[in-house]
Amino acid sequence: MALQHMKTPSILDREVKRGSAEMLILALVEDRPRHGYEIAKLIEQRSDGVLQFHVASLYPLLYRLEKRGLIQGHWVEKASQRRRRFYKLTKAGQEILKEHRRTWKEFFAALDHVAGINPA
Amino acid sequence: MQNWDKEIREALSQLTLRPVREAEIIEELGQHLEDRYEDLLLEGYTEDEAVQKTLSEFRQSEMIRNLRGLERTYSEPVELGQEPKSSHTAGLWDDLRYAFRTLLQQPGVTLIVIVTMGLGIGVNTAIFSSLELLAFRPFDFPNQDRLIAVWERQRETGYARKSVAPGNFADWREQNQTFEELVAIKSSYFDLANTSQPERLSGHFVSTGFFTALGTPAALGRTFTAQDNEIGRNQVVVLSDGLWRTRFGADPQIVGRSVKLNEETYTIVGVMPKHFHYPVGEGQLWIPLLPDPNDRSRRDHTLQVIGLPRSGVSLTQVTEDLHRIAVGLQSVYPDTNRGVDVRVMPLVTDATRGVRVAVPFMFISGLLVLLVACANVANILLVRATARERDIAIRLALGGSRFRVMRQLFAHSLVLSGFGGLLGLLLAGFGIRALRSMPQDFSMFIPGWSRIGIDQTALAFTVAVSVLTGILCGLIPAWMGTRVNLNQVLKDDGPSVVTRASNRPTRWLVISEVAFSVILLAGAGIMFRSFRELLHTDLGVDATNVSTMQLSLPGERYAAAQARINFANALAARVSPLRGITNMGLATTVPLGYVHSRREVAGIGSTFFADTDSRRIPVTFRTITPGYLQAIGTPLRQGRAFTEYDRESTPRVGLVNEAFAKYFLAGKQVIGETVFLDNGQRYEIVGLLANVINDDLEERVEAEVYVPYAQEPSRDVFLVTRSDSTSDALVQALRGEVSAVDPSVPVFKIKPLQQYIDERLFAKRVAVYSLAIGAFIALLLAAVGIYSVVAYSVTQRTHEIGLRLALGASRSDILRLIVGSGLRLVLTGAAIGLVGALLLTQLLSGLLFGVSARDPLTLVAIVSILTVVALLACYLPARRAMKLDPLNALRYQ
Repeated sequence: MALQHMKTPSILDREVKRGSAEMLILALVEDRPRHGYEIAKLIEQRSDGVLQFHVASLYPLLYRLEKRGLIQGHWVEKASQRRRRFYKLTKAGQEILKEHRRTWKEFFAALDHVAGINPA
Repeated sequence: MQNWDKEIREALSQLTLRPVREAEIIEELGQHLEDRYEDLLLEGYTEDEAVQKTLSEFRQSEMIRNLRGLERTYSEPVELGQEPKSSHTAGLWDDLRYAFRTLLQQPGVTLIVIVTMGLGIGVNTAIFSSLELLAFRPFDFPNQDRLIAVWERQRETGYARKSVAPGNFADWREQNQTFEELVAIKSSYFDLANTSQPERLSGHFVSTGFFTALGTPAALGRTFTAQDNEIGRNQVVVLSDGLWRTRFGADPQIVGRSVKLNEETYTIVGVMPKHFHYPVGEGQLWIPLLPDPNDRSRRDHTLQVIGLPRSGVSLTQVTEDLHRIAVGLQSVYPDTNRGVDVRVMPLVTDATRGVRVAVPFMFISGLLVLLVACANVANILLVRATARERDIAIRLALGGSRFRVMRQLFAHSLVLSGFGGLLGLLLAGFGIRALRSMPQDFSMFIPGWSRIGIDQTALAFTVAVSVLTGILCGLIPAWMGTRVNLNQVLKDDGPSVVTRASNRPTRWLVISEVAFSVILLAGAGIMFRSFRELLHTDLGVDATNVSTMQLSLPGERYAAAQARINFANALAARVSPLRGITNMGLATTVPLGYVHSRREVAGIGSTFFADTDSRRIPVTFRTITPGYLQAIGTPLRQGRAFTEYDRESTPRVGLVNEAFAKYFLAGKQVIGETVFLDNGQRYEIVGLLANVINDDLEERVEAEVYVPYAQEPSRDVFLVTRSDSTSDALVQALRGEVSAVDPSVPVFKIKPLQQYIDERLFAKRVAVYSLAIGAFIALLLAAVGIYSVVAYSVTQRTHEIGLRLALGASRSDILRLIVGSGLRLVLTGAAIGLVGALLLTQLLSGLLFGVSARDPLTLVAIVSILTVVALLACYLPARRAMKLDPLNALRYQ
């Protein structure tokens, strides 16, 4: 699976992992457009290495999100540099991200009520 | 830099992706792996370890599995090496939209290119618009291309363009076999008795067929018929549009109204269209010229002649026909027609002769600026295409057609040239508006001046130039950019040391820009120096604060000489004490004033010249009041000027100029000598004056004779005043004084003497300015070109610079390296440009005044200016190179 938990084997099921991966990407491109490597690095840095995205899983996910119209990619060419593909959040992506955040909030609230887990 | 494409391509080969999509994925993943590899190196991994780790994270099988969903779903197979069929128009439209978005992401470069193209196109559009109206189609009438101007030519005296005598015109008209219409025009002044202030208007007597020859009907009413040129039926007048509007309130019922001109009643029969101005000048009305069977005068040259040849008759045939008649007249009338021949030329050429001298300069300036602009733009586009070499190679390797890739590059340049053309049009409009807002009105001697503007032909020209520029500037870089060696580029880690061969096209473009700039600079410099010499020519007058105005003493009241003398004296008594006036005088003509008066010299001392004597030449004849010489600023070299004691009752005296003395009295005593003129009068020379320029500034100085106004008063005079300063108030005061002496005397053509000089200098000034502006723009563009090539070279050589720094080169060594390579380009271009400049200035040598075509001072100045500009343009990127960090530079690929 794309997302790996460094310290313990993953206990999240397939759907939850895929959903969280999508949300991570949408959230990272919400502020400004980013290219693939930057997205992968940010995920690793901000999760203190807990979460890692490898190229074999990151890009297919980016392409799927693009195909669904949730992000939009465009090539940026700067003088004397190779061009890079940057991704930005679309309006549809904004809506889905909102939905993801609401879902995950409700999920953690439920976890907290049942098992006493505080996600904050 | 590692090459990850092999691994990626291997993975993707198991999928069926669209070739373009596959290429993009390879590019993107390759960039990711490269970034990962770089980061691992920074973490301390060795190269091999970093490569291994990076590849281990690639996970081919996972990649393939995850990308399955992206495989294409085309129903038709696409052969390798081909793209899916699509509409070419839709493809080009996509390319244009993509180009537009890409250009917005690089605003700096985009702006430079658009401004460069805008300057090149704008300068050319403005020049083309101006030339069309000023030099090639100055008139508004349809027959202008067929009409011919005919002048008398007299070899002995050197007059190549002499007005025609009525007798000669009559014979040409009767005996010619080649003209459909041959028309005479006589300009005159008419006193319009219509307003509270008498108004003097300039107008023309025209013979039968004038308006027919020009092919212009009246806008209101009619023009003249054959019957109007008969005695008793010629009291008709056609007005100009301007006169109709300003003096008759654009009355639509004007036809049939009467008007008093020179105390005679005329019936208005028509009004001409708005831009109809012929002959060139201030003429505002036309009256039929009556043929006088008794006037076969061949001594008074008062007519201007134009003709419309019969259909199919060439200029050569017309010339031979009239020459035949002239030769016949030479033998029939040897007294008057000895050596008198004809000079025939197209009317447009004749009417624009004052401007034509500027035409080649404007044309060269525009052309070279456009070439420099194109070279600059091509350079920038070539650099961009080279920077994307790898991307282009990938596309081509994966089956993208060269045409498709070229089309995309080409679309970039098309978008740029479209915006450049729009900016060019704006700049051209601005330039033409600036021309038209000049305070002087040059329409008096430049026919097309009032109509100057951007015309439809120029618009079409702008569009064509924009597209052509886009094609040229885009095609070459696009073609060169797709001529990549695919294997080499895809395997290449990037050159460690940049070779000259790889930069050859950009270098030669910069060399060509520099060469064109040098040519323009040389032309501008030489013309500027020539113009400066012209400005400093001793005109024989001092135009500082000198005003002139023409007066005409009308009617029977001034038929007697004494009446005119009394007027002159009364006017002098009123004007001289006016505040601000330092000197005043009257004269029948003023230097450069377009009015000429000539007499023939009939004898000197005791020697009389027979009619056939070659010494019997015409000289400029001028009557003046005391005070005129001080007012106009003509120095007295010997003897005395006229005084109030030189009157009708005293012996006739005269002043001559240095040219007269040199021709007739070389080596002899001038003062006290006697001169006889063809009016039967004898004059004792009492003074010698400096030479005065009467016509174009480069013309030869003519012999002149001045006589006192009190001894030969004329009706038409110029009032010349020198004052502390010039102002409208002073002009109004002078008008007031004239009116105070006699309110019926009209005052007209009020202008400073300096304006006459400026009008003569106009064409040359335009030539100098157009070259100078062109040179400035070309130099600026060349500087941008040099900068961009040197900057690009620095980028390409970053690795090499890092290597040099790592091996011990100092910062100043790097500075010398970069600046030196830039200067080599500039000096090569300068050398080539100097050769071109010498050729150009040699071609112009006939137009130069007081300066050599190979003026060394000018050429040294040009090379110096160019070197300074080039140093600046090279220094900025060189400074960037000096600041490079060796480690980063070594890692740069």
